[in-house]
Amino acid sequence: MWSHSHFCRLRKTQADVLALNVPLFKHLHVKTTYKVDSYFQFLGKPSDERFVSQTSYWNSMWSHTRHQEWKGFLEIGLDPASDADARNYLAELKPII
Amino acid sequence: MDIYESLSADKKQLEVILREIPRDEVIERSSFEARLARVTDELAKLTPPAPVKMASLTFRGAPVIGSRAIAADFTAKVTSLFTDAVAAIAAGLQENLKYMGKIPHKKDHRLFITGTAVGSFGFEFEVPASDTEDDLFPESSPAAEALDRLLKVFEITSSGDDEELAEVVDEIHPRAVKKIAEMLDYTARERAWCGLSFSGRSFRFRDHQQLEAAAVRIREDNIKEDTEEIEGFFTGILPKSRHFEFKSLNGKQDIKGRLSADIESPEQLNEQLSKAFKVKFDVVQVGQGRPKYTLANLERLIPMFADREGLAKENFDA
Repeated sequence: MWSHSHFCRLRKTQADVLALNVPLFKHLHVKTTYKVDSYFQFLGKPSDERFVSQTSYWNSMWSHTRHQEWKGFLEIGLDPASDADARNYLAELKPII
Repeated sequence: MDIYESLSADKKQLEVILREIPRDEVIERSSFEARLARVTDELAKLTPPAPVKMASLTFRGAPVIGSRAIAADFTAKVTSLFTDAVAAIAAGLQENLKYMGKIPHKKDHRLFITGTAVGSFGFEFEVPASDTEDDLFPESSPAAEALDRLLKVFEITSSGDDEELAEVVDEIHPRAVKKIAEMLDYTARERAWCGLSFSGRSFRFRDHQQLEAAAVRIREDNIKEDTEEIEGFFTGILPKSRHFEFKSLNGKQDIKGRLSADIESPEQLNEQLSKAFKVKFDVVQVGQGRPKYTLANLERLIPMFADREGLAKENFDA
């Protein structure tokens, strides 16, 4: 995942990055192709009000069901060093029909 | 919170968040835009729920363990007495409550428990909506009116004087008053006390003693409801506030009272000033308070003389 500082270092705007792989940032495409509800939250930015309100939105949205039952979060680090392991694991899985 | 309400709140929140993200932060915006599109789409598939009025009845005291639990047998009995009281007041307001037999249209005024009330232990009730479909000027349903009166009774039995209580009781059918007394009596016997919230107003008995005192005040033996025939003449009518003044022919009583809501055109009575009538008033007296007089309808006025014109009050002043 690209962090804010990464963007700054490369002097890339969000529009530049989006242009590199437009479908990746299309929620519907990702959902139908990879069965994933994908939403992006930028890390490494100053914790201003905007950052806090966005973080609390996602937290409140995904920590409970609409019937107020608790849900959990599973954190998976996306370190490129683990890519090979991830690919091997995926190759062992049966495709979802 | 129902799904419609939850999605509407979600939509509002997303719109606020999106307003704060600059247009060129396209990736940051895309997530919230996708989410907003999904929520908007889900909302469009739902029918907005009719506005629902909720009442909450909570308890403290012996049958209650903090905000954790409440005795099941107490709950069953007290909620039944509560709903009976509401149904009886509602039926009384619709003028179809008799002194005995089944409470009419009880199912129309039925309250539905939709959840537990927080704070002390209690329940949330959904109050039936009015039959009228006028969204612009929605009328209160009889059950909503009844809850309003019940709340008033709770307030006045605890802090009002006998005259104030007589005024409230006067507007409620005697059988409905008895039902309220039964509920308070049972609650007092179980050494509990309660609170009621409805339509932005709420009242909570301070403790068991206060509720017990209220139960005593509203018991049948403390409230005298009767009719009284008095001969005399009206000396003044206030049509808007629905009040009258009446002077008895024997000169012993100057009565101030209320004109029932059933009298459609109270101003008509202004034409009858100074004519002599035998009038049957409803009289309510609480404890040692001053009796409250109500004129239920114009049929209760019987002209006293054969020519049906009555006589000028001056004839009786001498």
